[in-house]
Amino acid sequence: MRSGILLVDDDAEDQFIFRDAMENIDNAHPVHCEKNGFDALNYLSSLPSASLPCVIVADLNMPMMNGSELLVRLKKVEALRNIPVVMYTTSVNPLEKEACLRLGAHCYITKPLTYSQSIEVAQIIMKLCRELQENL
Amino acid sequence: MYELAKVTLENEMDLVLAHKRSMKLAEITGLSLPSQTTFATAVSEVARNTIENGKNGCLTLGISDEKKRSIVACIKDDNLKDPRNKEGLDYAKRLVDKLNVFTEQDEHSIELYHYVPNGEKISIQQLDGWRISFRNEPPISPYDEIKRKSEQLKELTEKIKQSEDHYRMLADTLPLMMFSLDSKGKVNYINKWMEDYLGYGVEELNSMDRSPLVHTEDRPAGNSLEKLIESNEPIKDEWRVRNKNGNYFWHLVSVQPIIKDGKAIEWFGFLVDIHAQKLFEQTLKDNQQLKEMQEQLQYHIKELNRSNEELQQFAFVASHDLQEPLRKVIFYSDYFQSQYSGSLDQKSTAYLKGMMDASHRMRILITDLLAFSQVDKKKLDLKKVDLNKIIKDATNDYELIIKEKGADLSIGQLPTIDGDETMLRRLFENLLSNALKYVREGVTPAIAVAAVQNGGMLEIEFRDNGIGFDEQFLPKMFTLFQRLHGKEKFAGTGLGLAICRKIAEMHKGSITASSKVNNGSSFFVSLPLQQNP
Repeated sequence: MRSGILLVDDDAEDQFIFRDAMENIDNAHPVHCEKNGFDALNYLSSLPSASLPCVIVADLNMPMMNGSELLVRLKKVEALRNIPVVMYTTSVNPLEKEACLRLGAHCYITKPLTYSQSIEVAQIIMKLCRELQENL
Repeated sequence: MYELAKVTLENEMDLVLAHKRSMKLAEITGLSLPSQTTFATAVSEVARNTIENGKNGCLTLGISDEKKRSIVACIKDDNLKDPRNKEGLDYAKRLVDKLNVFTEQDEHSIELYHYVPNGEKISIQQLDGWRISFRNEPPISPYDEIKRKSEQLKELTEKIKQSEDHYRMLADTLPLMMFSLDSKGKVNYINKWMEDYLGYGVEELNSMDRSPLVHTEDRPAGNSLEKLIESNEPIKDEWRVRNKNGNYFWHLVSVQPIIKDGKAIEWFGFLVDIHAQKLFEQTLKDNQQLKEMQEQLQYHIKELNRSNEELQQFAFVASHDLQEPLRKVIFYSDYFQSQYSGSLDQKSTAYLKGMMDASHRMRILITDLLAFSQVDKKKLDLKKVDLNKIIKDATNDYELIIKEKGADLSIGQLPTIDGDETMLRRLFENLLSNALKYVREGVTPAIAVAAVQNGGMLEIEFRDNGIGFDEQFLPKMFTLFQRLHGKEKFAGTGLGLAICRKIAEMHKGSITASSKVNNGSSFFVSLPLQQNP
């Protein structure tokens, strides 16, 4: 049974806020962070298949390899294809949202503007992990 | 008739001369003395009559050019009266072999013929010899001498006059203006062409101010021809010269001095019409300038487009990157507000709220800026767009506010047009949001959206019963960052209508509005039904 969450975000503060929110709802899943799509792919390829995260949360705007590029790459790798990818961004551009969903993103979450929103985000991720575990 | 001699018939002295010359004519042609006397008497009789009764009489002596050779005396007379009944004429008729009388208008001529027996054909040389002998005939009196000289002078004068007339005619018919001035600049002569062109004669030109005849911009330095004349230098220039209708035409001007003892005693000048050449020259020059200006314009357009693109890029990047740190500021202050509100004193709570509000305002500004730069950057994604759906989406977005304010919405039927769905939705949302924002206190907002088709255009009206605006601000309203109201009363960034205008223009349409203060406003959006790619 897979566990753990991979957060791909170049913004250190967003990483901190995400981790903090997850801790505040007593999340049992470990959170691992990478700074961009490139590093994320390297990290994932270094893991044995049993240690792969159950959910990948990816920012859209990143250096080296952005979120949508990462999404395309992930969907091309047999071992990683089935890990749900949650797009996590400030952009509320509906076109961008549609494009990501077409590329196979599981869902699209806007980055929190308030503390309570950050808790909501953490709860959505938690719920997703729980559902995945129950389905397996 | 070959003319040999001439005698004017004015007084008694002339009569003597006429007799003498007739005698001589008869003599040189070899006639006998009695014949000489007969012929001379006959001539004298007619000549006397002419001197006594006639006018401008003149006797011409010569040899007839008829086959039968004879000496001829022809007496011309300007008198009106018919000379045929005169006594002298009858007498003379009997003395000569032939007498002819011709009347031509007021002029009469009487020809007296005396045959020359055994006359041979006369050579030109012989005629010339006789002419010379007549000319060299010793004067019979000082009168004869004076008379002869005076006749020669008259003849010369006539010749000079003819030659002058000839040149004058030449000068008058040449298609250029000619004139002469004296040393003081007084006009002595102008040709007919010049008189016709200027509409002034010599006298008028000398009594008037001539400077307005030359265009102000072309007048020679010193402002007068007279000043120039003092310099003794020839003038060559191009002037616009005024014609009699008051129009100026380009002329080449050339004025040459006649120098005597180092001083100009007279000036000759001419003016040639070069208007057509001048206009052609000017057109060429204008064309060249136009071409240069076009090239410059093209360059500037290119530069402007480039800088515009850079600006858009900047606006997009700046607003996007500005958003991130701001979101953190909002997040952290919200954290404080939500987690520690109980442990903060009143002032700290107020300050924290101020920080939150300011951050939110900045966020809206950045979002709008981002939206504006995206509208500009994006190419239209053209599709058939059902405007009924667009307006429904927009009203759904504002459902909460509509309910809260109890606004009364009346939406008419809208057609399907070619357009960019996202942009049109933003356009409708912005106009709807304005109508819901600028409402009058205590008045239930009423918003009506209706459309009419006008040719290939769709005219959509968004009418409200809100606070309205002063129409003098209309031109400013649709430009960036223009706000008519204070932020305390109505929140906003001053970008909404600028975005609307941009969207309308990108669809090759337009937007305008009309209003009265406190009497609602109407926004009119005009969009083409079809977009031609």
